[in-house]
Amino acid sequence: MSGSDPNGPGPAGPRGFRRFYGATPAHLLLHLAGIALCAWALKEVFGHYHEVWGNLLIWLVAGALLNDFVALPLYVGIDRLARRLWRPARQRLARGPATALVPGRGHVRVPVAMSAALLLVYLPNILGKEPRGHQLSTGLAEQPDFAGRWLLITAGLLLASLVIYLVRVRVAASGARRPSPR
Amino acid sequence: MSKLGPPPGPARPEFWRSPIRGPWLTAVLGLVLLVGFPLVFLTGLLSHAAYMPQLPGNAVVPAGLGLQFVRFDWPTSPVWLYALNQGVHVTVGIVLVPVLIAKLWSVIPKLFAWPPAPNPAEVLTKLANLLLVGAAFFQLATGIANIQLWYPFRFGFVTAHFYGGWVLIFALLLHVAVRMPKVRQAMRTNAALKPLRDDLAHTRPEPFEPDGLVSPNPAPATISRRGLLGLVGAASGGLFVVTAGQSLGGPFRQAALLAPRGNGLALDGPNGFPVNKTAAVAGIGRSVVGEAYRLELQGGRTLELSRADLLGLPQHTYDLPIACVEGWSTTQAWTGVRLHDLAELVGADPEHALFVTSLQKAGAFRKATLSRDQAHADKSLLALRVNGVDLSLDHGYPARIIVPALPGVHNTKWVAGLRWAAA
Repeated sequence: MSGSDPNGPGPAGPRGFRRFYGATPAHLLLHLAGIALCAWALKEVFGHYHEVWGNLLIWLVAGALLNDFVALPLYVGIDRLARRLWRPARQRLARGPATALVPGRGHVRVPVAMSAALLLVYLPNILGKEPRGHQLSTGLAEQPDFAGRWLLITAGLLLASLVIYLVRVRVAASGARRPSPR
Repeated sequence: MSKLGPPPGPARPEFWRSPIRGPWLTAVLGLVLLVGFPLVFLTGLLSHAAYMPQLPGNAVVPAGLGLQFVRFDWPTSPVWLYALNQGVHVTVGIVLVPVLIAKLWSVIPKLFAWPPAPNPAEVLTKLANLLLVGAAFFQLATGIANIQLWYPFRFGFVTAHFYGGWVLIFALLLHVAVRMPKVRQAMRTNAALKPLRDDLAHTRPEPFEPDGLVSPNPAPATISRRGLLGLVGAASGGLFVVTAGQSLGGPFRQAALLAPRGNGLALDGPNGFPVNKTAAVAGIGRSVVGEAYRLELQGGRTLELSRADLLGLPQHTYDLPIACVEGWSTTQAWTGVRLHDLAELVGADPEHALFVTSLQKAGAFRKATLSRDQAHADKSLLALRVNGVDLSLDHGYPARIIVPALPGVHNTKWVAGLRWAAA
């Protein structure tokens, strides 16, 4: 912290300013202007919803906090755990050099990431959240089985990825059997 | 305290080991968001203008609140203008979700950098970042909940989403002003797209620099940079496939498997296209639309017309979309009386706006005000039939408004009265 700096804020001038503030005067002015503009918009909406300001505030910061402190450690942790668990299995299952030629991680990561993105965005549909009443708003007797659709899409993505992986392994294996032209 | 160094864990730079993290990857993901978020903001602002809040009774965001200066006469041509605007707004917003998550993964070491507040500049930077990331998730979360008609929050969606958009764009402009030199540098030192040529075996960390994003302790690569961009693209592409069909319509609607108004969300037959609000929701019973129904017209003189009278007037048929603010749209062949002809019938002043009221007694959007242009556009209809049959009750029988490029909910259903007057 600047308080522990024996020279203090230093003499006036650009270098002294920088030592105290930590960046250029342009950085300070830009941030004050930008944050003031944000505050303008926030003032309008918090003024209008002052009775539920706490709920509004939670929604404004919750996404950032949940992503950085919950979701990110979760998906990084799952990826790491899966790789650690898979390593011994891979060594047991490996039959010849072909499987070593084609990295398999992407064939799991891509369909799982696609499925997770669909789940995240369409979670209300998939969980069947419909407080207004689906029949009332669409005129249909029942909502499509979104959960079933998501599971089928997920299975389809995983199977498609598996097929592509097996084709790649086969191509790599036949390539490895052929004598090298070089 | 800073002399002791960071505590063990994520505050230490060597904790973060991905070899692909670095200024180039962050710059590429940031540039995608830099195109995407302003596009979503702009279409959102245009949608606000399309409701023409300057006309009496149309404002959804309270008129006394600020930042509502983008106002103009929303055009009636091309007819698909609002459908395109909302399709872009909702679909692009949704496909940005994986990009935003990846972008934040790429800069996560910065969040834990030690000490957390070494100087005032860093405090302001962190506050600006919280505003940016918070507003970005707020906009995506509230918008995505709204299109699925799920309201888990206690504030009103439209007003909060409108001002959330302004917070996001102001914070984004600030972020770009501060970070653009770094983006330029990252692109220059890496020859723009060159890292895309590297496969997994050739993936190396970017040059290390202190206090930067590059790991001082990189692990072997488990994915190449192009692999990560491909993964993000696949996640966004998957979202696009199950979403866009609800805006594109036709055969594409079948592919919109998870979208709120996609596959399987309409009845069969000529009236088989999505409904925003059924007659049951609006409290419209058979009794008010039967033989006793009269449409009241007020212009230079007053006139009451039965549905049979309306069917006796010259009929016109146009293919026009209904486009919902929630992003879905559907184009149908509507038949009815031109609003312009009705205005002439009662000798309305051609400069006047048109005040439309519904038989609906309570609830949102049971009335709307149409501008002079909308009230007199060639294709503006009081529709009585659709696709060759009578309107169904859910689609607004006995008569509904259909105006080209008008936001869906302003195409008032179960029309009770038309009044031409100065706005």
